Amino acid sequence: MKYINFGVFALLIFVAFILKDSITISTNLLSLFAPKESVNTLYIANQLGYSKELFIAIKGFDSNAKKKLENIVKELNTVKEVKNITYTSLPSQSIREYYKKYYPLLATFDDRNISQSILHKKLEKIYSQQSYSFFYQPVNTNDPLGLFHMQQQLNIAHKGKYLVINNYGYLIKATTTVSPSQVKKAEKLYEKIQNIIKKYPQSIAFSGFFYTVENSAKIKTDVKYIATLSIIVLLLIYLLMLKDKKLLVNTILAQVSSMLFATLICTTTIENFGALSLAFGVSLSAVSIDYLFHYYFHNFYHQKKFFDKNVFFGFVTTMSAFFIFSFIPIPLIAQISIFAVYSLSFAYIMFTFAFKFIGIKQFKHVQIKYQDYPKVPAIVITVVSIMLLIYASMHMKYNENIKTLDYQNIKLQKIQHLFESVNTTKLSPVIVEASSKDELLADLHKIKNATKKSFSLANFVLDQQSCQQKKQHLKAYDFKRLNEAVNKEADRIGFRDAYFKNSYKFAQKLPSCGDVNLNIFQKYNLPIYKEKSKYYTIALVDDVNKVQAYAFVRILSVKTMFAKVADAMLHDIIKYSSLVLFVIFLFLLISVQRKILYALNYILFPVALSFYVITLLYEVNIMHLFSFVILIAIGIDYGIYMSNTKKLANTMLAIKYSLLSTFAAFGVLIFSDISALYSIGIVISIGVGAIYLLTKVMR
Amino acid sequence: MKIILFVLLLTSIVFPKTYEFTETRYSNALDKERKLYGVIYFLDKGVRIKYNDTDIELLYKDGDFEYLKGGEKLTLQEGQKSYLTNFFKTIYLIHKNNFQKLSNNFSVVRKEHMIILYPTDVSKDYVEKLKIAQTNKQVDKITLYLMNGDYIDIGIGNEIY
Repeated sequence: MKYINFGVFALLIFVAFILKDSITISTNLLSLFAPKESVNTLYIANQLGYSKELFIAIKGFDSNAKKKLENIVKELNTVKEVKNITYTSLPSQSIREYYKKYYPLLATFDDRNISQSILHKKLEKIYSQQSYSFFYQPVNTNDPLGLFHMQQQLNIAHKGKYLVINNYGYLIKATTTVSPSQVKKAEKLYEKIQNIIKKYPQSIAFSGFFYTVENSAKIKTDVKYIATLSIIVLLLIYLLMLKDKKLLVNTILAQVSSMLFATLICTTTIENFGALSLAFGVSLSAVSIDYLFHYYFHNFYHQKKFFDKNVFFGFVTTMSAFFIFSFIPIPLIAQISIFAVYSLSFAYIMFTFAFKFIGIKQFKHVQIKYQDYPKVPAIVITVVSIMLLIYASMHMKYNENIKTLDYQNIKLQKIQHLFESVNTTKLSPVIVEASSKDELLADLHKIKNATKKSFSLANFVLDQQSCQQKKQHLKAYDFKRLNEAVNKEADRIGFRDAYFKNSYKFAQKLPSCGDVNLNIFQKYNLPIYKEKSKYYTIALVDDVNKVQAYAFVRILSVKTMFAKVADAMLHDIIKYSSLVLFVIFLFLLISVQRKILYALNYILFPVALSFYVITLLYEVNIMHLFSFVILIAIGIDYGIYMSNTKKLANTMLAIKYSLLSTFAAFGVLIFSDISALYSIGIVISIGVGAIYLLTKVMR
Repeated sequence: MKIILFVLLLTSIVFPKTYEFTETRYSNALDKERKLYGVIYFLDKGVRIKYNDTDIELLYKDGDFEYLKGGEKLTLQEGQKSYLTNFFKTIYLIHKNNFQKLSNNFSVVRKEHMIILYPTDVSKDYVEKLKIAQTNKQVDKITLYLMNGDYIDIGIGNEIY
């Protein structure tokens, strides 16, 4: 029994080895925050090539810049992950053929009756231009009267035939085969692109996956630093306090075993268990050390009793809190809570029962001198906490933009901003979904009519109904008679014989509606994607609000998506925290009875103080909210211990070191450059400070 | 003598190569030829054309095209501008004997004293071919044949400077 910890650890390693193929960890961060619908929308967007675009800009418009442009294009052509390289606004061969075929249906047609005098005037003007103009002007023999007019459909700034970023320089657009979630492929392509770009001074490149590469490198370094710092602090605390080598080794083994136990269960039974949940879950497991400290400093392992009421109540209350939070519809919090239920339960069992048998030396009571602080009644702390909570709730600004939680890559953000200015009309993308291509086009035309400015396949292709109407309209016009009139008048004016013999014949032979190959517009970043008998495409609109009511429209702005989610998260956290507080209140009524306010303050005060400070200094984000959940879970144990303690000095010592280990696990995140981690660090650090303060000043 | 040499050297540096030209335009619509006369300046990075007895100038420089009337810049329709830019760029590249660059948009066929360019890009919808007559790498004549039966013939005459 002496080596029970080693046995359990070996058993877990054996089980891990057996289950290794069933362990799955999801690296999809998005699925931890976003509801399934948003994840699916982003998946479709990914399939459509959205966020796979690559932009390269070359500063200036001189011949040197043009030379660079041509050389970069040549080099890009050798990169297999780069496709559809575009640097001119010229249409492709297939688009030109499409225009030729569908010209009469696509162009606006002036159907007014052409009088003899108008006919004469127009042909006379052509004759005069041919005779006297300094500019050579070719004669349009198909439509000499200019009755058909085609509008410019492109949404791209260009200078001559070249694509440009206004006032900056030339632009190259391309699509890549790499999406921001494919880290390894992204790193490879990033290197290839940067190697090309650095050869041409004053040229810059951007693609969504650049964030993946640059940010993940930064995040990796940051996390490594934080993890090392955390381990050093934890080991120092354990070494300083648990001077007994056997105890130290067993404690570390028990903690690792509890983490391993929870990891094995969560990663084999929970679908899409996230790497982030695992990381936080592991950190949260360190909180279980407070059971050991409490037992050790109260010499529980040398007493005959097999059960400590205070630790048990602390454990049950914490478990209940995490159990309730495991039902919250925010996957990250739910997964961490489930992990915590398993790891803390395992640790509790190990520290309570197994440690009895390993022969730990007795803790030698030392005379602990405490400075006598003026004590504040619990009711005052409760009132102050409630006031702080009310003030913070009234003044808090909630930051819904999840992107601000990521590492802020200012340099890349500036480059992205420059490329966003290409879209001079500031259009936002939406995904349009339909059951057939005809339905898709009809929907796109609805969007076109609902907005002032839009860019989609509707700019190039008619829907069935409009196409049929246009055909009817053209068929009703007597182009044969017009042709005869044109030729007769042209003869009279002096044009070559039968020069206009083909005039308006193009308007008499009309193509059929509905057999357009929509894939040819990929060049304009208007792709089509089909999955499970559904068709998807992207439309750019000037006002998303005007189209979001359509059932076939899905908003693609990550910001809007998360704004909705973040709002729902806030409500969920408030709802579940209230329920947790109610349950905790009931447990405290049983476990601490009359000292309920005193114990409750160990949750209220740290949450209220950190919430107040955060409101004063920052905008509240979802990571702050998540940290309040952790504070509630850890604060309750200390409330129970302090309320029921018979040996205050020993309890305070246990709490002091538990708080230090909590700081080592979570508080060190305050040193992170990544907003998400820093947010957790600041809340936990303030919370830990507040709990420590309570142990000193509350009576 | 030194001063004269210096002045000659200076003029050859400062002043662009300038030639008289005769433009013959054939309009298939009218079945008529029309002759225009003017001066063509081959600049370092462009071409400038001035027709006689008018204040109209056409300037192609650094890839951009300008239509000047009385020295003032006038706006052209996008299609017209694009067509003229391409035409002037081609004249400029022919003058520079830069057939490597021309081969990006044309297939080049060389015959005795004659080079024929067949368009390979979008312009093949309206341009049939370009014929260039040369003597000792000096361009004598450029003829542009269009798909509608029109042609424009530019005969380069005497060098002015």
